[in-house]
Amino acid sequence: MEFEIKIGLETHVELLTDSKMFCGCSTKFGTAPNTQTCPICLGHPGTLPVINKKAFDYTIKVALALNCKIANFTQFHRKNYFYPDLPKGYQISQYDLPIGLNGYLDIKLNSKVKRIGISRVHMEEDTAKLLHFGETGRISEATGSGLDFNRCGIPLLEIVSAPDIKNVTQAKAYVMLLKKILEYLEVSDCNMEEGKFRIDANISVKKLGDEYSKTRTELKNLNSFRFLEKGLSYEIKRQSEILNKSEKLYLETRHFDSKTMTTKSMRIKEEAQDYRYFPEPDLVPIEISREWVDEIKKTVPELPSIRTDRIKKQYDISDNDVEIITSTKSMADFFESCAKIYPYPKIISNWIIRDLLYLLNQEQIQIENCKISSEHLVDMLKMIDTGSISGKIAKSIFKEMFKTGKMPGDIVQEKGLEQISDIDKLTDIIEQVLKENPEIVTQYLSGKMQVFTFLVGQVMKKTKGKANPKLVNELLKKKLK
Amino acid sequence: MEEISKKDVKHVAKLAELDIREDEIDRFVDQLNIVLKHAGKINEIDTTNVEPTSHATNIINIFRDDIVKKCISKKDALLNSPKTIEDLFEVPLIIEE
Amino acid sequence: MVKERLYKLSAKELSDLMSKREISSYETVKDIAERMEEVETIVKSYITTNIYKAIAAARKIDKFIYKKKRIRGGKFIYRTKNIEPLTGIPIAVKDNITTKGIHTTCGSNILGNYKPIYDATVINKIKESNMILTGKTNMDEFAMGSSTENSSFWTTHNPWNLNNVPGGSSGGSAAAVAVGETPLALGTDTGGSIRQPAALCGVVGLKPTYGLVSRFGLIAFASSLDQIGPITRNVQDCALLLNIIAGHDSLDSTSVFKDKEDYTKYLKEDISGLKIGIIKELMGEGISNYVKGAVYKAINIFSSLGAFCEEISLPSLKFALSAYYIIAPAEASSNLARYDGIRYGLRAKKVKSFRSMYRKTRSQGFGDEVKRRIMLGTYALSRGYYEAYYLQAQKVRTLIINDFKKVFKKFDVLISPTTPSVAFKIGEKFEDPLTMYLSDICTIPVNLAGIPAISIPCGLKNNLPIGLQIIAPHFEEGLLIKTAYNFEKKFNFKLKPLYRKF
Ligand SMILES: [Mg+2]
Ligand SMILES: [Zn+2]
Repeated sequence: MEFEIKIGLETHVELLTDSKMFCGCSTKFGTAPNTQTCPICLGHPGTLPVINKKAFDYTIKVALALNCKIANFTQFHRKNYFYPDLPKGYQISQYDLPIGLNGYLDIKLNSKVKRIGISRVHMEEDTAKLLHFGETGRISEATGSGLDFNRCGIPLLEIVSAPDIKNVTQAKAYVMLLKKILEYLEVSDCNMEEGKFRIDANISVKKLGDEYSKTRTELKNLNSFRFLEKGLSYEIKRQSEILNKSEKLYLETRHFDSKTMTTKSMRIKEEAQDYRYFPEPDLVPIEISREWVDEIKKTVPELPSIRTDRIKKQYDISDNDVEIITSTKSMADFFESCAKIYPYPKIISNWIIRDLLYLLNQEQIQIENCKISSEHLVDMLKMIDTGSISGKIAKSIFKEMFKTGKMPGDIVQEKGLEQISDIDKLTDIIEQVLKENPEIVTQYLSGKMQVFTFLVGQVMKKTKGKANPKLVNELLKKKLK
Repeated sequence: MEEISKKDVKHVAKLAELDIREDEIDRFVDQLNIVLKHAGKINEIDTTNVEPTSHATNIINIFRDDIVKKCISKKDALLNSPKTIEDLFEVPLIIEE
Repeated sequence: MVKERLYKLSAKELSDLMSKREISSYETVKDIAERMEEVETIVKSYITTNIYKAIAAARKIDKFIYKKKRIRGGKFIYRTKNIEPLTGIPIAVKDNITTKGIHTTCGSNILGNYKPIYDATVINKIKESNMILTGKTNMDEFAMGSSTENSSFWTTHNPWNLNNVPGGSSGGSAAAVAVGETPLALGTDTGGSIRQPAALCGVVGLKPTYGLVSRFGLIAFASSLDQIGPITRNVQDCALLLNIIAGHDSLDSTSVFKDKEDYTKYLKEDISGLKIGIIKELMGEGISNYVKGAVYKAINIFSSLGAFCEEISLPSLKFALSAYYIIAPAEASSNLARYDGIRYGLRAKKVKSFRSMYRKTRSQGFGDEVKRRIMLGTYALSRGYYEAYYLQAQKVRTLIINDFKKVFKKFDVLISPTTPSVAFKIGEKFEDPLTMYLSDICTIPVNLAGIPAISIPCGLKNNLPIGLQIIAPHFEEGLLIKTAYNFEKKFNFKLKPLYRKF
């Protein structure tokens, strides 16, 4: 039997502001529980919200980047429901007038472009963190629960895709590109482990040719790329099997269990929940002027796909390398800031991809937190070019720079790594090597040219790799004539 | 306007997280119907082309700058809580009913 | 000569005496405390009294007032010659305004033990003005009511007749001012909760324009309608207190940017040539004849002062009460969702799940009227009813606003009775919500339109006061004060409970 799959993704992203959405509390991650609260974000009686301008600007920025129409008039609504992590009994969110409407995102798969609709981009506030006690920390086995309000009220962006996604690969590509764009926009650090980038999915499967069904699963807790993949696959399989058996599907909310890699029903809904939305009377409406949008437009950087294309055209490096280099904005920025002051892009990209990425991976560091700047790398490359260090020495200097952040010149001086290019000194050493290896010399002179590299190696060994290899070659050849 | 029924009252009580005792329901049904009958009068007036008013002022675009203010102490945060557990606000086991 | 009791004096009189160093703040607070001792067990205006702290605060202020400095010739003068107008003057605050470290119950069991961790903006303002908090006054639970009978704690009695209600929801504030337990009080007004009790207790109550006084720290009933305002014994005190509480607050997004005004300057102006509209819809059915009679007498007084009075019609007002009883409960149902037993307030015992915690806590913590309004509001917002109730009510609100705009093109101020009748008997309307709701019929349209209005005494019936309501356009509080002050001077009302022995 053939099936038609429809997937819509709802992404919640914590915005990278210093203070919360409606109060001045810090948004810092990882502090002791309930140390970043105030009467406002604790929902104390009598308190009132005031909108964080930066969070609002960021939302416009994202909506623009996702090709949305920007509302010229908007307001906030209250979404009313009871849950312990929601201190006011309502979430301040947006309803019929989201900031961004009807955008799209073009994903590329096998060099084909697929357009995924973006239904809406709106802003709301994050909830408190519910912690479960008990051996496993899992809801089902908890013996008690407690609330930490540090997260409560952090500005949250909600991005809802149209149900245009047809399979798991597309879903993954969509999420990866979305995350990349948000990182490019520098509005969120999108740290999935810290829960700053969270995905829920709506999945509906129907037999091909059947009319549109109202049954769908709202799948929660897909908080890594792996879980997204596993959760969607499981759910598609589960729904297909039910249809194969001609059994009934329900409109339900299911939870992805990362231990068993399966989904579990949380509740079956007879009807959609009644959130009793109404305009938030504690906040005033917002008019978004043309000038305001234009102002924000100026802050939108070159987006990933455009930048990738440009870099491909502008620099002489392989398409594959460009894809890697533009996979994050910070890496592309790093590359381009090097390319601005050093004329050989290929050499730069080689060092980034082979050496820098290796070290970043090994040490689990983000490029923006790494100690090597474009000046570090370019200084080092120039030293290679002028012959003051060898390529081999450069590798160890690079590691040292990565560790300490010292400039390459300083490292060379401190460790005495300067290349030996003094002809007299090198001639002395070469003569010594020739004296120590008479039979090799004989072999060479009798036409066995391969042994030449051995002799070079011996010279390098004696100089601990500091001899200028080009000079050694020349001098050695001269001597052996 | 249709009258509010016993079933409606139970449904609304559930939405509002209120326990209404069986012996209270009839009273609520009666009282709410009296008030709703009066309130329903608003539908006698023609409001075609009338915009709703949700805010009593015509102020727009009020924001604050993204500036961190000093938070209250953990002690103050937890001060009024009826039950705490390890610096957290305690809640009973989460079981959907 | 026997020194007159200080509790009988107005804030202005007390302030003048303090300026002349004839009395101290301590003596004032002490006399208020004595008055409380005489009447509080009978009238029951307060939920929490703050007398010990008040006396300490008064002594501190006195040190400042009486600070002397030696000048040439060995003489002393007061270092601070002119003290601020309300320095050292006692004030009572309705118990739905947060006071740091002092119980704030909102008249509800659910907040019976709540001690706020912050001060409302108005509390900061009265503290900065060196005023002295006498205590927190009784009110209908969550300000839902017109009689103070809905308080979870006790009913306040009308000091004119103890068998009658003081009105509500700011009944405690109005009674305290009327009986001399404070010269000044703050109330809050969502549908008439300042003006109606002021009328029933024979004092002055002003509901400012929505957005004039910060709502930060006012425990919300209906956010788009709530305003804090003064309850005083005369118009002059009202202007002085409004001077202190009005002003923009960056913590309240609905707070209006407006230059600070000195409202006392309007006390000097007369009202000749003022155009006064008499609202036809509020002078008809449901309004007692004696109340209409008092309003007509007031019209004569206005005319004698040179004002023009004419009847006008605002047809949409017929629907104001209905719209209000959709909008206010709808907002309330959401505002009261935060009482869940987790971060503050009551929490029911023996609950296994959080759902049962919610339901038991809220059912035990809220009284009947609050539950009724939560149910009503939830229903009006729920799927299938939103358009017919909530949205339609918001549209009716627009029509009411438009009607007011229209008549204010022709008239400077409007007048009507504040209430349909004088204070009713305790228990009389308690079991009948709709009849109770009708006692706010004259005051509600003003809240829906967001405009200011004042209630001042304009007569007596069976030794119970009748209130006159004066309504002005947005931010024309000055006009209200001018009109009310001119009337007050001419009418010369005597506040009898002040002289009453209990
Ligand atoms: Mg959301
Ligand atoms: Zn906060």
